[in-house]
Amino acid sequence: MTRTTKSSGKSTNNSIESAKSVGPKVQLGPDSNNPPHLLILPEEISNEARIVSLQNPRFSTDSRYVVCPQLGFYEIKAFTEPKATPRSWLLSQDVAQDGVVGSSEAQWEINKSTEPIGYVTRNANLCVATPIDPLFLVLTVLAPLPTSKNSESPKKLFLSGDDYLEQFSSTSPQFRAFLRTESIKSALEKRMAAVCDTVDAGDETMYRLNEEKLVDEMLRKATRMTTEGLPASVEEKLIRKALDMPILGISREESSLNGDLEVTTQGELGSQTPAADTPDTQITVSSIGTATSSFSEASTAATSLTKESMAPPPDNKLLPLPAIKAPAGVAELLRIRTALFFICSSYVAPHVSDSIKKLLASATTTVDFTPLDAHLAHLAKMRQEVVSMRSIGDFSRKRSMVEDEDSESRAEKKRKKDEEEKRKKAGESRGVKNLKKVNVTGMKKMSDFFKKK
Amino acid sequence: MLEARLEQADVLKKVVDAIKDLVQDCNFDCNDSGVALQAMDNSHVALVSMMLKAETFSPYRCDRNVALGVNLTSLTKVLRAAQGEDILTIKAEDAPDVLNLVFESSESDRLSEYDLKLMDIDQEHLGIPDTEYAATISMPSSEFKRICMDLMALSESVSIEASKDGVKFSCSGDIGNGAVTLRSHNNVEKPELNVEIELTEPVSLTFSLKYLVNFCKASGLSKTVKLCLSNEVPLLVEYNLAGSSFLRFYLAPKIGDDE
Repeated sequence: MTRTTKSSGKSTNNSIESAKSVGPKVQLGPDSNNPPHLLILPEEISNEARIVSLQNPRFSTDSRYVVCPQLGFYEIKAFTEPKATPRSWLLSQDVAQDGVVGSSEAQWEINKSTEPIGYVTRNANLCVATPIDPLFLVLTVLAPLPTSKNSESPKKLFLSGDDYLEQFSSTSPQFRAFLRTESIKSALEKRMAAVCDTVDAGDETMYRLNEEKLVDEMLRKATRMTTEGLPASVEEKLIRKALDMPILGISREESSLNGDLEVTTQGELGSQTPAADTPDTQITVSSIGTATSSFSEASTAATSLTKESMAPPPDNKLLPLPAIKAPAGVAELLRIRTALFFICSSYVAPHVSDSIKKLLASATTTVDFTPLDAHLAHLAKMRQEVVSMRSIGDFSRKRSMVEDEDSESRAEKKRKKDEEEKRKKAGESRGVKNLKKVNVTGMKKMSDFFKKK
Repeated sequence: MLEARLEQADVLKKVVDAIKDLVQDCNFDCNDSGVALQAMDNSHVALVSMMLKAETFSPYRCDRNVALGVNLTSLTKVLRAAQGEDILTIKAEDAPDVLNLVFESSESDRLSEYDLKLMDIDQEHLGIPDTEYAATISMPSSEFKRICMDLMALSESVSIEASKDGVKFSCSGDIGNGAVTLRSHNNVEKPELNVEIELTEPVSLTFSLKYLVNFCKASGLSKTVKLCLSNEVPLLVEYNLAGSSFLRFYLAPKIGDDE
């Protein structure tokens, strides 16, 4: 059983592991130096499973992964509450709890008799271990960052599986222990074989990364991701919107207010989202951050090898949406590409994903994206036309957008001026007010008679 | 540091009452010779000039020149809290935020104290030269007030003609016309009812009655009023206060024939 480090009162659960510190009932205890984390682990995880630091395939930094000899590799996803809505977990001991193990049992017994144990975490972070394809992890050693700057890639050599694994574990001493576990080793080698050219040298198999195989493997993953349907938010933002047909002809005869509005909103859409519309649609790292949790759940599930049953993303097929108007297969192609780019941007080092994209463009792959590119280019051109048409030919708006904003600030100024005047009037006597009404025609100003000092 | 004690709060009350319907905000310029005020109405056709000499106060102390920017409506509100016979003391720091007013009742031991917030007023100061006027008329202030009020009922403006026969205030309006003529008059028993006319040349000028009525609010300050006229220059209406203190109003004549 894996366990996180704990400060004082300890307990473990089968699936949910948490640590608690004992504190007085009313008075808040001091902040724990080593606050407990909430981590959801797979149910049938074995006792040999460990949390280890491995190199993150995308960012080349150390990240935590759960490795289990039986179930395979899991990455730990942390879900963080936005700072604006502070929340906490209240961790408390279930009295009818079983599975209390080890030395903590005695301590637990003592505590139970005296006072209840509880802990309120500082924030509502939740870590979830989700399956990850070990291929991504070994990719860091299969395709290491080129050391020299010249574009000519150095000649790749065949290396034995053990050599790769040796390199792989060099960054993570904790992982070294797993190399002796046969199941882990074979799983890694199997995944390596999927993307490598192999040569048998005696009783050893030698591996060398084959990028075309890698692209095929990635495409397979992406296709699998799309067969279950993309998460609703991705579908809406990146697929539906990208393939939206701009409305071109609005007949002037029936140009009611509604019609005009439609034109403007369509035009705005076109002008706002050119970045997302371009054929090089790519989910950047920042967009992952904003994606909903279902996004990452679904994607990691799609990339998993070990987990066979995949839960379909929630509320994906609940809403009957109008069909996408696009030539047959184009939407599917876009989905695959979106999924692929998502995988690349989250799990593949930048230099590898670059070469994958290059290979995709060269069209030697199993999936041909040319109809999609053609359609997207066509759409971009249509949008351009709509925007230019609107700027010239739209007389329905009396004022431009800029002026609308101006009017807002104008109103603000007017209000300020009114307030000032009101204040001034309050300090004005009735006599002064009456004098304002006096007809002063023909009367010269005082300064005409008396000089300024 | 300014500290000025006025035996009768009434003086300041009446001065402020007379001015407050003409100007809204003004600076009280205090220096070692006394408290001065110069301000114009919104249309800049009338000007009020006040001087309360140091000897009006007892004691009077002003270490540095200081301008007290006051909203006259606000000052009126504070002064309303003073009885006419109260002893009034005004105090201010060298760079003041507030004007401190203390009213002491001479009869009872009542002492009230107010702080009035001051404001920065950017006012231009006009230099008023000593002028030899063509006609100088002094008369009871109540008489002048009565003439103005009576003629006001008929018209908006009054024509003042000073000749060797006397001074004629005349007006004509929609309902008709009217005129009041005063001649030099000497009352031995009640010298405050004298009417004196000094004339170097005949003068005839037209003025807005509304403004003159406004000036008449100072009638309570002095028994007599002095009108000084010359062609093509503003009319001077002067009320003399105790000592050589004064309250003067200037009004631009109406030129051209409207009405």
